[in-house]
Amino acid sequence: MSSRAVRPRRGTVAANVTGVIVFVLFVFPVYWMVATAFKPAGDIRTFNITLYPHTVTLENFRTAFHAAGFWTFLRNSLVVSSSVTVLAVLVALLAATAVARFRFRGRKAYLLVILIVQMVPLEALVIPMYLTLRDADLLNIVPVLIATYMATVLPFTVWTLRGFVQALPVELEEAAMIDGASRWGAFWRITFPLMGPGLVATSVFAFMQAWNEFILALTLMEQGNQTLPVWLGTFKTAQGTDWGGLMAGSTLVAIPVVVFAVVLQGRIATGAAAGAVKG
Amino acid sequence: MDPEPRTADPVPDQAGSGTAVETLGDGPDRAAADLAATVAATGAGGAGPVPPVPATAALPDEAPLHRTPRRRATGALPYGLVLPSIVLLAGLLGYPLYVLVKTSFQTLDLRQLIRRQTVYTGLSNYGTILTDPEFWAVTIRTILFAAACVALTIALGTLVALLMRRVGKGMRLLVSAGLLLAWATPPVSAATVFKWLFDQQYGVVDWMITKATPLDWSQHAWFDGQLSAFTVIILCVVWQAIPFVALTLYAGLTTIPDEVGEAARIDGAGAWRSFWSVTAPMLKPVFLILTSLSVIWDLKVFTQLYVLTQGGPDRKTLLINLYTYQKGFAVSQFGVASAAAVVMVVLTLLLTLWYVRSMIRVGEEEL
Repeated sequence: MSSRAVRPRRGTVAANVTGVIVFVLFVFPVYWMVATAFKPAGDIRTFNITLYPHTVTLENFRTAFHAAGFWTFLRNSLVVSSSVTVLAVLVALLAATAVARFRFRGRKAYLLVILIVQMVPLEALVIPMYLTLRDADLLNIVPVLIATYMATVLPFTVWTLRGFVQALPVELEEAAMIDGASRWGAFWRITFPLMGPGLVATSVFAFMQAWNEFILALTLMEQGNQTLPVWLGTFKTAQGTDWGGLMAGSTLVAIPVVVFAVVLQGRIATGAAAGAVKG
Repeated sequence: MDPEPRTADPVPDQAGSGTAVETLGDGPDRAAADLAATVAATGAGGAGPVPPVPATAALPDEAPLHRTPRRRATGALPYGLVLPSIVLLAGLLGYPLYVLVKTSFQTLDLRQLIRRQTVYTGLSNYGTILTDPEFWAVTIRTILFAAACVALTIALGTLVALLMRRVGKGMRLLVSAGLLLAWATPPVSAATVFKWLFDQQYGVVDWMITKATPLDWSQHAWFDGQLSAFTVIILCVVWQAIPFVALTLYAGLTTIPDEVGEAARIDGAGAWRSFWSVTAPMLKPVFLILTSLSVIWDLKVFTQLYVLTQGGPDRKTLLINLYTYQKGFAVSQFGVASAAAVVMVVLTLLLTLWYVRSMIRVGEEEL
């Protein structure tokens, strides 16, 4: 916006001070999680709280790694989240291409259903899912858990990717087809590469959703064979809560999604800067 | 049968070209609506708010111009492309919904569950929950809780967005980084940390309040009272929900040219007046969608509640999701739990009906 310089400077100092306060308020819980994770036990269970660790220790992370079944939970989380991401994005890419590039009978009805099913709270479907899977002896099976996650991840993945495909001008494909490319070739060679940022973004959202999912893993899997969020929710020791270990665990659970979110921020910006979407 | 698809379409496709002409002139309003549509698309995930990154970056203002001639339907190809998703959704959403409604008409307690018996008892489960005072208390509490969360999220999110408009570029980056961090933290980690922040023994919040004020709040038992326990739950939920709202609204604000605000100022409007009379109406579609999404998310808070209080103390922070979960998995009254879940689905759909309507309206020419 060209008029940025014209805006009155009045209030900028106050605004910047408020900005710092807002930043601190949002970062503090995350900071406190990480800071506690690195504190020795004696500095955690104390009334003499210090705002930063005096001595840094990896003891809490060691505790977390050695907590019962940590590696099982971690493996399940990784397998489930990445499979859900790949499957959902693949299936959604087909559907999104269809609704963004073709007019066909029932297209609007399809989009309407995709929109409405996103309102159905998954929490309400946990009971029928449990009952059905129990009757079919399909509880506690990782691939089945993956399938159930698709119920939430898929509708929003279709809707998001549709937006990305629609934003790419169809003229590029048409030009390629005039130059002799087949429709498939035109889509594959022209549109698909331009969809990179959209695919990355959608994949990251899908991954985060699957990674954070709690209630399905809690109910459809047996104890000790769930995912990291459930592991964290039930993480207790005999001597009450081990806050150090728990904060180290929380940090570990947060790392992949936070890293992804940061990566996403940069990727999307460069993708848009490539100018592809400007047509 | 006439194979011409247009006549068979429930909403004629010409609506697209017709409205596009009028809406193109609307400038920011149109852009905001467009942004909102994309936001809703990226945001409607269940696990938590999704940032508006693709809305701002991947769909620039020019997006409406791509209302390009679409290809005519060519045989079975598009149907083949949507088929996998239809099969998956029918099996994974449609079938469970059917089982849910069916189960809500059955008595399904531990005995029937073990013997795999099916006993239909008509509306008796609905009778049970509708005459259970706790169910009503929980439902009303859930609505109040969601209302409080939504109001706080939208109000504070708006303030943060307006703040981001006022600060310098570096400060804006810093604030967005903070927001991104809060948004990206998994709900289960967030809830665990909030439990630690408000710990009765060694919680840093008690320590800070005691240090910074004349009050002695050390050993304050946050989770012993209904109101204070809810305070922590709401803080935790709102802390994670604000970033999405703030970043989306900020993106919306940038589509409004500064001249608009200046004109209002020249006409003598104060900051407050100019926001309510000029900025807010222009962002109305974004506000509508953000509010509806917040309603959906806050009605189904589960993870934070499960980690923070498990409905305690004395079931006073029990919300409808946890109530349903406990009825099912803790006391094995799956029939009653299903009836409660059906009520929950209906409630959610009713409260978000106008959202779907406005989405259809916003996306009419795209849909």
